[in-house]
Amino acid sequence: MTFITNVAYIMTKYWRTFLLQGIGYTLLLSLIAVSGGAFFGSLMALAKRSRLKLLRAVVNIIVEVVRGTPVLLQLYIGVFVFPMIVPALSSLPYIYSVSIVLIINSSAYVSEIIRSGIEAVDAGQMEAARSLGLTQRTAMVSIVLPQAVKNILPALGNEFIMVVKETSLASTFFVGELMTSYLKVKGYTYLTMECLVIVGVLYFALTYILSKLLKVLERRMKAHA
Amino acid sequence: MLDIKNIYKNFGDVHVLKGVSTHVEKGEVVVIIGVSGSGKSTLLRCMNLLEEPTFGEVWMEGRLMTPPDPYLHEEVIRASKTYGRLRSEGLDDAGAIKKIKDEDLLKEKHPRAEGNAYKTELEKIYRENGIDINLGRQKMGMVFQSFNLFNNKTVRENITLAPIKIGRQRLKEAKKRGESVDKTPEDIVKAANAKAMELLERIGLQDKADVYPSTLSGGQRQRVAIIRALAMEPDVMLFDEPTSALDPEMVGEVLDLIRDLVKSGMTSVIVTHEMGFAKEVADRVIFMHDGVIAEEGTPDEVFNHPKNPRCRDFLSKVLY
Amino acid sequence: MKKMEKLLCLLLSLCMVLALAACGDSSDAKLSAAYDKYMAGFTKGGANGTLTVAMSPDFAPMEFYDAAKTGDDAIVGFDVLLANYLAQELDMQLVIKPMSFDACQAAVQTGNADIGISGFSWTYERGQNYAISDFYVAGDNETEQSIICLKENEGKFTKAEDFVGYKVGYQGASLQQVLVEETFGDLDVDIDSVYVDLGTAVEALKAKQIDFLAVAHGNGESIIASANDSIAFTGFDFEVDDMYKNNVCLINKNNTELLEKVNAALAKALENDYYSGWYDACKVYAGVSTLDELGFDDDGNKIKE
Repeated sequence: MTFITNVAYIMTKYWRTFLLQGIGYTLLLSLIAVSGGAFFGSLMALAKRSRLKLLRAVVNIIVEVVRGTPVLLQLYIGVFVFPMIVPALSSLPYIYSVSIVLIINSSAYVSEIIRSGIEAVDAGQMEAARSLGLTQRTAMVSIVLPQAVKNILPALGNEFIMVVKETSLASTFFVGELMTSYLKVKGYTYLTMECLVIVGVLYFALTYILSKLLKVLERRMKAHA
Repeated sequence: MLDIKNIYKNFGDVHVLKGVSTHVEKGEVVVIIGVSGSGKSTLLRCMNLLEEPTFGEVWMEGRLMTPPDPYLHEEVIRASKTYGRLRSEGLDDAGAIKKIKDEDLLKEKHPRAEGNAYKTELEKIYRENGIDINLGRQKMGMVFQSFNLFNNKTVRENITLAPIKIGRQRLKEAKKRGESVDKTPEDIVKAANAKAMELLERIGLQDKADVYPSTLSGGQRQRVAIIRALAMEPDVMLFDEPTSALDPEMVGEVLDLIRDLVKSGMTSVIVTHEMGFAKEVADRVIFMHDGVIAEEGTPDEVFNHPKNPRCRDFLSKVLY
Repeated sequence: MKKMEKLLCLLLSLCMVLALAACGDSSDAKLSAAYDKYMAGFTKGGANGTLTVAMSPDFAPMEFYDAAKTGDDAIVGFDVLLANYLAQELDMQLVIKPMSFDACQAAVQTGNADIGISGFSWTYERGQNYAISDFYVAGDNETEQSIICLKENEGKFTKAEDFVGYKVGYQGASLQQVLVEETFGDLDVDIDSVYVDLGTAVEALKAKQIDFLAVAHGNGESIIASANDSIAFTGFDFEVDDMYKNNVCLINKNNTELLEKVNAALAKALENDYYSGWYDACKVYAGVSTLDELGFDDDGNKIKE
């Protein structure tokens, strides 16, 4: 029972920290990461299909390194090493460096999602389009990509949900998302379990609502074709 | 009309085509037969460059679609440094060219190594004869074993997509060149739609114009695929085993359509396992074996009096 | 599935109700009165560039967040007062960068922060890798090192031998680890329970996964205060070597100039006895003691020693 009263006490006193700041920053970071990831991931997917060997190699190295190292480590590098390369970053709050790292991380995964989405489209579709005399670009834009999007969107949705959870690692630098809220409040109250349960429920609610929304979106897409 | 010159095709270390040359006349119907893996589909795909030949050239109506193959042009060989070296070693002109051709001596992947004169000759050939690959393909219709209708487009859109896109592009280019054009983009769309409906009526599928291909039967899909190719008004049709993926009861409707087409004078190259059909429609039959043309002639010559033992063996198996 | 949704709706609406109920949000002005007075007394915005401080604000009363405040002011505590004092003495502009305890050290090492002030204790290894400032004294936070337990064992364990056969937990890489190993290493005490942060260790104690938890006395008081008295001191205090009793600042090894200036400022603070007043104010702020207990009036003026 003390547990529940503790939770109630924390929520009455710190609801702003959890609901406004925590959820706000978690959603903001996730949105930045996924939209940036979608944009740069698409570019990277394009680069992977480029004729320039060097470009392909560079992108492949980025993807492999990002996928092969923990996000937390990437965050440390982003926060402490990026400012050495780009001095302008050092005077900005950590959330900028953290956002850049999350975008790079997400780009790598999104580029793989797009690549496999395109590859999942039957090669015959491209061949048929080319055999009619359409250019590579027209065939890609009119035939292959619209079909690839159907493979890509659900995977992109999953990526978004993954990113929502991954932003929690950014709390190492107190950027303000839900896990930071947890650190702030338990650092003062020492009510660790209670705070954990609160952020747990909030994370679950966020991802559950998101996945529901994505399902609706997917159903609409299916109905459309 | 369609000229195939000494085509080689390697997939890595696998040599699928080993020097194939043939010529398709206007109005001619050529049927290619042979066992699986003999290279007949690859040859067909090389004709419109869905597979890029490793060596050799493809000419469509007197225009070169592939990059020029130096081994086919003696003036190019004579301009190469390798030729010069061989001559200085004491070989005569004919001897040097023969040695280069036989032993594959040109460094064709690195044109610079053969000197500027060699490069200039190659570029000259391409400048005088070359044609944009997409232009070449627009003159050839291709029908695939697995139909390859665009899944994200309706039947009508499948048929009109290429005419509209390419028609608009030509219009744009004509305007850029400053030519006077009497058509608007809307005219192109209208014409393409009318043409599509006309073709659909011809195969009796006009009521399927606005459905997606996934709702059609295999036979219907293949017939739509055929008229999709026809909508571009090609000069030659390439059929790559058009009935192999069909249920037996649907083979007939597709063959009927192809028969109609060739009877109306459409130049065609058909890869097929339907021997009866081949015998019936072909002006010329090509038997492929192990990457080369092993036997070639009229249906009567090839089916009734085969000279090549492989061909006899193959026919005895497929004709009972 | 429907049930799940109902449950979710219920949970979310519960959150909302709680949120609405809290709209009036008590600002705890009284608790922060003494602290705010000290803060207001510092000269801010120095002309000598910026002093970037790495700090891990999850460690009341040394450094923690005040949910009622916003922006940079929200990070409060003893080390924040010290950082403001140092910035004033060095005539520099203060920038506090909050991050995890581990990250603080990395920040100083990579030059991302000029100085790490986060309740660091002196250890041999730190001395090898950083320039270490002279000591500063955060009240009794570090001078007294104690062991806490569940309420039922309060006061029953007073000497090292009493702990034989029990489990004593501690936070890894902390002063407590050193003390526990020194004190119980030769006795038959189970000291294998290491925790990454104090909060987790407290949960382990509540869940009876460990019998005892070694803490700095000040942290112990914070823990006991928020545990509704279900936790208490055992009555055992470690014998603490002088070198452990106080805190230090970490400075990049190459920055000897800053080290000298910081040491000069720390010496002045010690001489003028600033530390105890700051520490008392923070203890009140963290809810460990009341204003009255520590001799403040309601406006945060120190009225008696």
